[in-house]
Amino acid sequence: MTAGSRSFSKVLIANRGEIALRILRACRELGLRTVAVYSQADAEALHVRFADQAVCIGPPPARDSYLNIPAIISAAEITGADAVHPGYGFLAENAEFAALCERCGLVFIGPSAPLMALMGDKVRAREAMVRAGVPVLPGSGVLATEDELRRAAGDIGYPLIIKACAGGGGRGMKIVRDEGALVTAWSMARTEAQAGFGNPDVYVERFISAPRHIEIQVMGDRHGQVVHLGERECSIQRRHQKLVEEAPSAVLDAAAREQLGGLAVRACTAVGYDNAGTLEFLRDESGQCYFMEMNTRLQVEHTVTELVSGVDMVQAQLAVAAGERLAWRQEQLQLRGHAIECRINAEDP
Amino acid sequence: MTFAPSPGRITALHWPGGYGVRVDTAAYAQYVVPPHYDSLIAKLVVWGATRDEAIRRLRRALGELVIEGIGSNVGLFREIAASDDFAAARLDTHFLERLAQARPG
Repeated sequence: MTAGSRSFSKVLIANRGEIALRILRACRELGLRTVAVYSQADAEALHVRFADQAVCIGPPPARDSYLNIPAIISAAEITGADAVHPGYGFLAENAEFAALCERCGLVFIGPSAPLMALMGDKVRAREAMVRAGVPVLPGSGVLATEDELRRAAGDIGYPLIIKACAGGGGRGMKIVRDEGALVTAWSMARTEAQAGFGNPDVYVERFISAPRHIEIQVMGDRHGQVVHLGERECSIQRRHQKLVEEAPSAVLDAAAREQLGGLAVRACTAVGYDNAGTLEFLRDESGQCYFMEMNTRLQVEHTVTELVSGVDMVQAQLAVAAGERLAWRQEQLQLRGHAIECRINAEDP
Repeated sequence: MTFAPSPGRITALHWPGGYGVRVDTAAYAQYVVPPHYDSLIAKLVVWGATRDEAIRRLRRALGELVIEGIGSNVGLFREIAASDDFAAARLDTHFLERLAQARPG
C-alpha cells in the first residue's frame, strides 16, 4: 500500500486457518507480499503453502506459537515484513501487541492501540457510548439498602437481573420478574456474592429474556471519517458461540438501520475510531437495542457484510491502515440482497 | 475462542459451489484437523436477492456438502435451514434450545 502516509509492502499474518487465507488473498490482490507464521502442528496448513514466505514460530500450543509475541515480532524482522494483520482471536484485541508492533516499525492492521484499549475496557466503552447518546442497558450502581434497591428497581422495571459487582460465571445472579420477589432475591444475591467473592455488593440491570443479537459493522480511517456497513443478526448461538449469522436482520427496517448505524458512527467518530470494528447490541422484544460491547477487530462473520455491501473488508482494513482515506462516503454504500453464514465446526454431532 | 474440536483426518471433502455460494476454509481432503485450536473449519456463506432466496440456496448448498472422517455440525445447519422458525426469522438467543425441544423422541 503506497498511496497512504504509512506505506508497507509485506504483511505478516499472525493467524492460521481460514482467516489467514482470507487475509493472504486480500494482500495478493493488492500486490502485497505475505509472510505466514505457523506452529509445528500447522506445517501442512494451506496458509503456509500459499504465503510468499513462512516462518515456524513454535510448538503446537497457541501460547507457545500464535500468542508468542517475541517469536512473531522476530519473524517479521527476519523476513522484512513491515505490517502485521492479526486476524481474529489470538492477538487481535491485544492492545500491548498492537503498540509493540508500532514501536518495532510494523504497521498494525487494526485500530490504534489506545483505541483498542479504550473500547476493550467494558466500563470505559460503555461510558463512551453513553456520552455519544447510544442506549445501554439501564442499570444501577451498588445497592446497599432496601430503599435504594426499591428505587432502582422502580426506575429500571421488570424483569431485572441482580448481579454481583465482583461476580462472574452466573454466581450471585438472580433474575427477578416482579416486585414481590425483589427483596428476597436481593438478600440471597448478597449472601452468595459474599460467600463466592468475599464482597456482598450487588447492582441491578434490565433483563432481556429473549434478546436478538444485532451488531453494526463500522469502518474508520485515520482522517476522522467513519462509516457503517449495516448490521448483522447473530441470534443463533450456543453457549454464547455464534453459529449462524445473517445480513441484514429481518427485524430492522431502513429507518431502524439508519438510526442504529448512525448512532454507531457517531460514537466511533467521537472517539476517533479507525479501522474495522463491531458494536454489539441486544434487541429486546419491543425493538429497543442496547449496546453491549465493541469488538475492535475483523470478525468471523464479516463475510456476510461483504456479500451484501460489495466491500472487501480486509482490503479496506489494509488501505486505512496505510493511511488512505475511506474509499466511500456513507451515502455511497448500498446494501443489496441477503447473506447467511454457517460456521462449520469440527465437532461431535 | 471456541470449543476444542473433534480432531482427525478429513477423509473425504466436497464443498458446495455455484452462484451465490462462498466457502472460506483452509481445510482440504486428507487434512488433519489439529486438536490445539478452535473448531472452526469452514464458513459457508450464501447470498440471495431476498432472504427466502438465500435460505433456498443455503438448503441446496448444505445438500451438496460432504465432510467425512471427522464429526461436524453440518447436520445441525440442515436442521436449522429446514426449520419454520428460521424461515420466518423468529430468532432470539434461545433459538437452538427451542429447536432441540421440538425434536421428536
